[in-house]
Amino acid sequence: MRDLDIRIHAKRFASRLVLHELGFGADDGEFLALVGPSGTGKSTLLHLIGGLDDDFEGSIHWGGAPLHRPGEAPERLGMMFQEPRLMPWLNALDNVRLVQAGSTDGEGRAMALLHEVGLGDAIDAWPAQLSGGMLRRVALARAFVVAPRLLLMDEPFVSLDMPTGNRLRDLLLDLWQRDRPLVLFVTHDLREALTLADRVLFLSSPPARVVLDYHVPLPRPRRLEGSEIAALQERLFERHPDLLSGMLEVR
Amino acid sequence: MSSWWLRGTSLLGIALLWALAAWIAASPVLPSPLAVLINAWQHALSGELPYHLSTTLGRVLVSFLLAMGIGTAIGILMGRYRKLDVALDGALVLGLNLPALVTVILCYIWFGLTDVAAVLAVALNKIPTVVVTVREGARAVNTELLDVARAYRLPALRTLCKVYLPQLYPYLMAAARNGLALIWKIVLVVELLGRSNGVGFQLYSYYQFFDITAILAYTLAFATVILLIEGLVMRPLDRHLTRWRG
Repeated sequence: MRDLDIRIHAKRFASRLVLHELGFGADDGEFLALVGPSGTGKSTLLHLIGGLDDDFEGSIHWGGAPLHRPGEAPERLGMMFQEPRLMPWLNALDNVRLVQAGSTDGEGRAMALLHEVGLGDAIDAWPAQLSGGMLRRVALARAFVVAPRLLLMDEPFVSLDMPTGNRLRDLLLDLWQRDRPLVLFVTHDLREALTLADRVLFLSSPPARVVLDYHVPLPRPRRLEGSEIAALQERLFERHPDLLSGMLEVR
Repeated sequence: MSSWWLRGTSLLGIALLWALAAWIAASPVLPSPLAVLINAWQHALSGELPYHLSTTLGRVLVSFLLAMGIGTAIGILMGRYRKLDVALDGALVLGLNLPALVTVILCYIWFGLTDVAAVLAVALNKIPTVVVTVREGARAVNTELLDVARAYRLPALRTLCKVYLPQLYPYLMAAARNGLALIWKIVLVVELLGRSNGVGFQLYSYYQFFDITAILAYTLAFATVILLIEGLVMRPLDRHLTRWRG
């Protein structure tokens, strides 16, 4: 039994089938990337796992028990969205502290994390005063402040310039290697997936299911612009031209 | 501080225009600002003005809190639940268009000439406008931010105070400001019709004596208090709640 066990029989919006017989498992501490053509229900899947949508047929288990039980908080869960989604009326520190359970050393931990993501000087800044990259750093600190066992990330570094995105990806890997949560990282960028993940799950076009479960054979650290990643991507496209047709647009 | 200077100058300009008009008219029905000020001072010294003023302010405060509390709750629910919105919409339109005078008369007849009836009548007049404003805010609430609260399993109270209500602040401030303006006007009518104290009652008495100076003195005193509330409470509060806009 894997630590995370996902079996979605069907997820519909109105009568449209979005996810169909989509299943996979993952172990604690693993870094999984989910890639697939845009509009294939990757965000929908994360919403189901995050408990933001419970209208589906299937099950999501964590450690052998349902991840979401009514009236019970799940195992520590962190989530990062496409947009930073900070509360504009809370400063950086309060945004991080917002999601903490009421523990006494909470402020210390939140401060330490903000320092770690390089925002030591911006602790009391309003989100309106921060750049796109800095907002993502706060959101990253917010995701890790709950010491997540399961971290859901929905294209969190999309629409950032390459250096800013790279710094955030490095930061994420540092934090992941220290805390070792199970990460589900949704992206439509195959190179980003190959750079970050242990395993890459390829989703089909809708109704989505897992069409390829790929173990990334490269050692860490990897570089997004490096030739290894480019070569690996090339090999994948050659070996699975049909499976990856939906991905061609983002090459 | 230049904004205070500008506001002061503008008010002074109004007073000067008034003085000029009074000087040209030279009639007992348009006393000069100075005469009104002296009259107000005399009423203040006798203790009469503070008594009636504080009575009226008490009624304004209670009906304001009542209207804001009930109106906000209904507004949030109507903005959130479509069915409730449809069900209550007719009553809301009725409430918005019911003349204040009708509510006041009915409250006095049904509940007697009491302070409870007076305050209730004022609140009933104000609730519909609070509902309309807050409902607009509740409809515009950002569900993406609420999803953050749900994903991290925030306790309901924290979600309300830190994620939900801050989105309504601009609407609540607008409702509060309009509310204050509307409520003190209606409170005077209510006092005129069925109370034996308060600024409205006093205005009516002086109207019967045709004492224009005293009427203006009371009006001036009350207007000053409202300006102070706006300047010392409402505006600083608004600034504090929107300081993050940068």
